[in-house]
Amino acid sequence: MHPEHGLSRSQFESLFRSEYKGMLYFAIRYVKEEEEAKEIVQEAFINLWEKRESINPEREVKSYLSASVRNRCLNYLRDNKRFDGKLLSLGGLLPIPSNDDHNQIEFRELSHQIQYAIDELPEKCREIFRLNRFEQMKYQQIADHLRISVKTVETQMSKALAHLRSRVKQT
Amino acid sequence: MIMEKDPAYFEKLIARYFSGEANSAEINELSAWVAENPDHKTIFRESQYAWMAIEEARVVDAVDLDKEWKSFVKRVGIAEEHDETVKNDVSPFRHLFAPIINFFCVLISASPNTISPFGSGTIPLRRFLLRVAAILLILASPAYLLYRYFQQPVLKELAANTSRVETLLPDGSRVTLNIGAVIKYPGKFKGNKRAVSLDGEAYFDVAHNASKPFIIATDGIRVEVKGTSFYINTCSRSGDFELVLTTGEVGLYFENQTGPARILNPGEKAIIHGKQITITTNQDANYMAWKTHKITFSNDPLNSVAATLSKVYQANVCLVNPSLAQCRLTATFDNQSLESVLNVLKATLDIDIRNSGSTVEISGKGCR
Repeated sequence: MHPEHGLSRSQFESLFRSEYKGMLYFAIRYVKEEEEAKEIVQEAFINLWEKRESINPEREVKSYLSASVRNRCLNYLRDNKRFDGKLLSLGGLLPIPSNDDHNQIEFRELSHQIQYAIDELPEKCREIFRLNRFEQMKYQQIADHLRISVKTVETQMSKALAHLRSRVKQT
Repeated sequence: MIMEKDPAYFEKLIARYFSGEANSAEINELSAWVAENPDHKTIFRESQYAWMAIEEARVVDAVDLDKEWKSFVKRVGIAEEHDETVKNDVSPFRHLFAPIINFFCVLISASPNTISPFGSGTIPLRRFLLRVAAILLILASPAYLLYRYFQQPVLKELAANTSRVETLLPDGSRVTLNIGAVIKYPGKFKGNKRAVSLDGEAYFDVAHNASKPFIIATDGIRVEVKGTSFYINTCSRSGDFELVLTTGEVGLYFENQTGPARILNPGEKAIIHGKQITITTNQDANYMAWKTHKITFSNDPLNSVAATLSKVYQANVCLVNPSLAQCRLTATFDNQSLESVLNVLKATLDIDIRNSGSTVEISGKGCR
């Protein structure tokens, strides 16, 4: 193994830790399923691990990883004709960009944008939205937990969505 | 009189839809509303975009890098070796030192200032301890060397406890374990064979190596492969050994027999009950469903549907009314949740579904 080539185990671990989230963000925008997206990212890293002795410096590694994730996403979308109603297909598929240096930055920006938008919600509305999205609670569970009616949960959720729709827009 | 539903109703409906709260009638209603008018379509699209963006951000934010790294490490088989070796180091040493340690402990409890095992007279405890330590040390070196020389291969063990687990074996073969399965394999496949042991249900994708057959040892039966993919269940519901071959060629051997009892071809299924092997063409289109989450039903009776769903989703789906078995289902589900599948069943057949703890009860009048 040449000293300039190859990644040591600890170098690989650093790379894994610094790139994982960006890659996952990229995959999940196309694959839309948490487990599948994570699987694609893991497989891309496994593939890279198998080639670690011949890989060159950092820049090459990142684009190799991105290309690997991108191809797996494309394969997944092609091979898995999802049972999608007309509604889901309306959302359309974003074209997968070929250069992906922006993943990390985009993800951080989006994450902040979303956080601000959620913070702007009135307190009760925000809490209900948080319980539904982040604690994965159903409407009935939220109603029971907060001792309010399901109708109130419904109203607040639609208000939250209306607000977020105006703040988190496609650019 | 038909009431015109105000826009607020549909806003609520959109939120319900994305939260997974909408039933199929509501989904149809929403679908019609969206199709009705380009403004409705825009509202829907924008809602979907925002919703998806939030969901994606949530997933990525929630990532536990330590957990993901550990999972990665396990799959490629690095770092584990170190722990395994340490664990196995302990026993030979313990055997060797047990008599000495016991002796030592007995001496301590007896009396602090008396008895030397090495001759007459008394030796103060501290000096005694030093002498014993020295002996231990001396004994340690040769024993350690002996151990290295006769080292047994260290076996790794992988078990799927609460969810299915996939891993890469040292030769690049991939194995997916269903819940409850356990596989044991060495850190490196040395010699002219690649041998693993299996208990339970697994899918193997074996890397090609004609000169080094891949052997799966289970209780009494050996499976030898050259490079193929197949499904194997060593303790299926009926208590038999089952193997379904997807691609390639596989030989089945009984323990202590050199010649194969049977060689399987793709599409064939072998069930071994005791010493008897039954070969059939695999009829169960869903035998891989637990791994792929793709289920196909072609005019299948509801009792068979329930059995498949129970297996795939690790739940207990049962029919309350036996006459429901006459109901037939034709549908394909690709990576759907159990809830989603049940909703389709409810919409398609005239049945009721009730969740009772971990059991899903299907009731209704039956068909025909």
